[in-house]
Amino acid sequence: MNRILVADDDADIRGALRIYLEAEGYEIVEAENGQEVLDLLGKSSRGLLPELQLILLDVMMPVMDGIICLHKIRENYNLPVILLTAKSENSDKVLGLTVGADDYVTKPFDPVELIARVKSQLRRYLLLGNANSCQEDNNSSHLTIGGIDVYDDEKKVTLDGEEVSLTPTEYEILKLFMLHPGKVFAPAEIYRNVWEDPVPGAEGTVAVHIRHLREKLEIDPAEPRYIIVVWGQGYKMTQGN
Amino acid sequence: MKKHWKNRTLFKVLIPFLQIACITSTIVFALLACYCLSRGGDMYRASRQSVEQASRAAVTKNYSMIAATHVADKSYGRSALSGTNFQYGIITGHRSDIDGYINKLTASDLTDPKLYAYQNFKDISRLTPDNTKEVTILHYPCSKWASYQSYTDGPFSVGSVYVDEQTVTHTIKGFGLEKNSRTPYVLADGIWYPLSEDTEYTALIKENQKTVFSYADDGTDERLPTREEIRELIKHNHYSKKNTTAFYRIRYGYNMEGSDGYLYIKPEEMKEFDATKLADSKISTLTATPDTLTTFSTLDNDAEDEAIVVSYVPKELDMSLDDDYVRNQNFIHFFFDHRYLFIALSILSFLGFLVTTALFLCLAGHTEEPMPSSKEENIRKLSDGTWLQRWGIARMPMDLWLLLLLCFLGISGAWVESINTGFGGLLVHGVAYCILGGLFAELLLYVLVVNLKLGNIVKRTLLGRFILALVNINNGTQIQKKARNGFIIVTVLEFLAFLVMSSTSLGGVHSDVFGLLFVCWVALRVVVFIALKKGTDILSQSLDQAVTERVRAERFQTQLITNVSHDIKTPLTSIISYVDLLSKESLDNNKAEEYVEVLTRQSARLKKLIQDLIDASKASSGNIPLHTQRVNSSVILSQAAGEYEEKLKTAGIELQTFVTAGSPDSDNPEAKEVYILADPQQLWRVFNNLLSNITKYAQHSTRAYVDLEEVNGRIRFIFRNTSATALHVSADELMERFVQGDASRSTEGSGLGLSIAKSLTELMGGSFTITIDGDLFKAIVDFPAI
Repeated sequence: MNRILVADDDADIRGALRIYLEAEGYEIVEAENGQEVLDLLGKSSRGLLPELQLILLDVMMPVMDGIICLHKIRENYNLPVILLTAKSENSDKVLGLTVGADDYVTKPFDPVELIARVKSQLRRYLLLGNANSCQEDNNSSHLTIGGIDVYDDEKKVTLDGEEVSLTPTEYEILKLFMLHPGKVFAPAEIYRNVWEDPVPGAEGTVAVHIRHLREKLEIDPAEPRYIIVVWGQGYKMTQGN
Repeated sequence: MKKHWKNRTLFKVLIPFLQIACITSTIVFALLACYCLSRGGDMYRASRQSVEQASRAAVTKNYSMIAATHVADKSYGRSALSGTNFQYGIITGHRSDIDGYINKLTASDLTDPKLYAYQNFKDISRLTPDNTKEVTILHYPCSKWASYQSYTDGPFSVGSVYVDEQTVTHTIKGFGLEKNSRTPYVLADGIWYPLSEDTEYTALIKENQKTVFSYADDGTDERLPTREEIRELIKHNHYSKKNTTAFYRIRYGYNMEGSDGYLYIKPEEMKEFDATKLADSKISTLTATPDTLTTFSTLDNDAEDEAIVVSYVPKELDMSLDDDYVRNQNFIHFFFDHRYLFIALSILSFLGFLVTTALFLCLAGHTEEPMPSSKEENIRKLSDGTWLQRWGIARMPMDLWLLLLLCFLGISGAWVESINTGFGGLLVHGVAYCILGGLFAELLLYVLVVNLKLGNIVKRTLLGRFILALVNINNGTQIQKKARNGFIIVTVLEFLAFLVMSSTSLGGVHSDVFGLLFVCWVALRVVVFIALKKGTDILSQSLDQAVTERVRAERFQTQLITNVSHDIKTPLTSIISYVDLLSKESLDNNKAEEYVEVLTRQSARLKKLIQDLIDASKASSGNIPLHTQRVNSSVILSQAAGEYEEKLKTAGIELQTFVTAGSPDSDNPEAKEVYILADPQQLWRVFNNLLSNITKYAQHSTRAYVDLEEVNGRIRFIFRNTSATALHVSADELMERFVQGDASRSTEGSGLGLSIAKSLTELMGGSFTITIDGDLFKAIVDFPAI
């Protein structure tokens, strides 16, 4: 049973979050502000409370706001923190991620997306090891970036440990990205590398395939974490956050 | 609170005055020392004796002059010179070699009283050649026209003897011709005066108004013809008697101002005489110069007469007498007794000057409290709470002050020239000069120091301001730049014209006058120029102000919308969440389910509306940071189309993409990439809005077209689709905020999409147009190609 700390000054929102998350089988602990979050974390680390696995943290809270609270959390803890905030500006997201948030969800949130992100963070934290016990896999047929694992021998792809079914073209595109993380591929380049009989001028189909790939691998395809659109240039793979 | 000395009014007033007093006394004492020392011969080896001797020689010269100039009135200067140590004798008479005569005199005996026209030697036997040191022999003009001018005073000053060139005017009583010399004479008061050599005269014979003979014309006889000879000439040459006239002609007035002309004398009026047969008193030794028709003037040549003054001054002066010798000796004794005091005082007061100057430099500009309403640039607060300020005259441009000082120096040059009243006068003028010049220099120093302390010294000169104004116009408006260029061109042209004019010296006008006029003209225009610049500056300033105010207002508006949106989002989160939870509850009521469905839809729309509101506000106020870069136009378009293809397909719309820009054609067989300058993220948002509009508003089972064209160096992204509902609004209205094509507003969307797209495109330097042709909706995003 994973325990999630929900910090928000609005009791109704805490209530809604409790309903959604408890329906998924998580145990919920509530906090009204940043100071309470720190107190609860301190208690759990001293063994007074059961251990917490994830924090949903609102940014705008009285007493101590989410950004300062996150900053203090990161001094001692490495458990995943998802910021939950009404602030949707890019600069706010960048600030949150810089301070140490693992993910960012804007209010009003889509419950499905929120739960997907919570699950993703928990899986990565628990399965891939909170002590960074990332299994050192010398098998060259196994590629891993963020929560995505590609097992080339089995032609199998997993996202946060759950298998994802891809078409052969999508699989080839993903493999190309996984082999060169961070590199920006122009659509024409992807087309040349993936398609067996490239027809000139048909690069437009690449965008469609990548869109599909994103829909399968990303929680929110419009705000991708792994397969990023570099507008006007191409696409690239990142480590996620 | 104890005031800092720099801020005390007492010091402010006292120190400049002390400073001027010090430099004045420095100069006075230095002047005293230098004056005395230089008159004693070599300044460094001056002794009391040499200075005394110089003074004595000067006095002896002056007294001799007085004696000589009183020869003509036979007083021999008795009244002026009695009761002095000056004993003298005067030798008169005309001598051609006066220096030789004096040499002979000194060698021989001077003790003969008969030698002198006047003498007052107490013991004439002392004038032996052995006592040459005490005897001085000088000679000066002594005519009645000579006068003594003591234009200086003081122990060493020497006066001079002026001789007036005395002319006497006579009235012409008649003309005559001396038979032997054949020179014309004029008669006045019964005395004949020969014409001066400068006077032009001739004899003329005219027949029928035509000159047939003039004196010396034939070159054979250079003598002026007599009456008889003229008659003979007429007879000899057979001139017709009736029409022939003969006369003498004498030029008058040629060396005088006013009228000049000729005197015509008939031969009958010309008296002929023989000078040898007339008495001496009837013939003058002076020459006559005709001035007018009736007068002539003579020059008195007695002026060249000189008198020899032999003087004796005993070595030991009689101190009881009150004369220049005694006075000078007393003064020189006084000076020599105190000369080191003078030098010391001079040095001391110079030191005082240095100290007061240093103090003045320190306190200049400091004040406890600045003048009210001082401009920012004229004051500066110091760390101890006092102020530096530029006030009053210090605000005047420095080069004007320099000009004033130069003017003063120029005037003082003329002033120095005019000082001729001797040592005392020199002292008085020196003091006045020091005080006035000191005041000027003091003020200039004050201005300079204050400006240096407050900085920005270039701006404190007119020239600097002018040059700065010219340079600053680079950031100015187009009109100002044009005015500057025009000013420079016109000034250069004028300067060239001035050069040409001054080199040709037009109409005899001196080039200096042109130079002055030119400088005045340019100065006048500089003033006009600066005034104009000020005016336009104020204009553009108010314009700038209006613009910044507007920008600030828009920014404030954006801020407000963003903040309000955040506050709305919190309750909205609860609404959406609980509506969602409600929809998951098993409601045994169909109507309730329907209502919940409406709530879900509308709350989602509200969410979208809020986000779009923030975006629209930011985009229209330009409050979005742009990361502009080269963007491959075909790649971004195919990426955008790829993102939407699936969504459009589900909406029943087929997307067709045509890229003609950069594709091979008959002119360019090679395909090329076409780039534009834009922020790719924002450009995607523009496309995103347009494509999402197509999914929302296009008619089911139609095609939508996305084209990329290059027209006249501009890249155009064209989005076309067939509208599902009739469009009853104009294209312009569609781009307004909150306007939607369908009046019912039933579909999702905020009505802000096109407005945001337009704002973002224009922010990136592109243009965004919409055309509506029936059901055909067409959006064109247009960027210049690079």
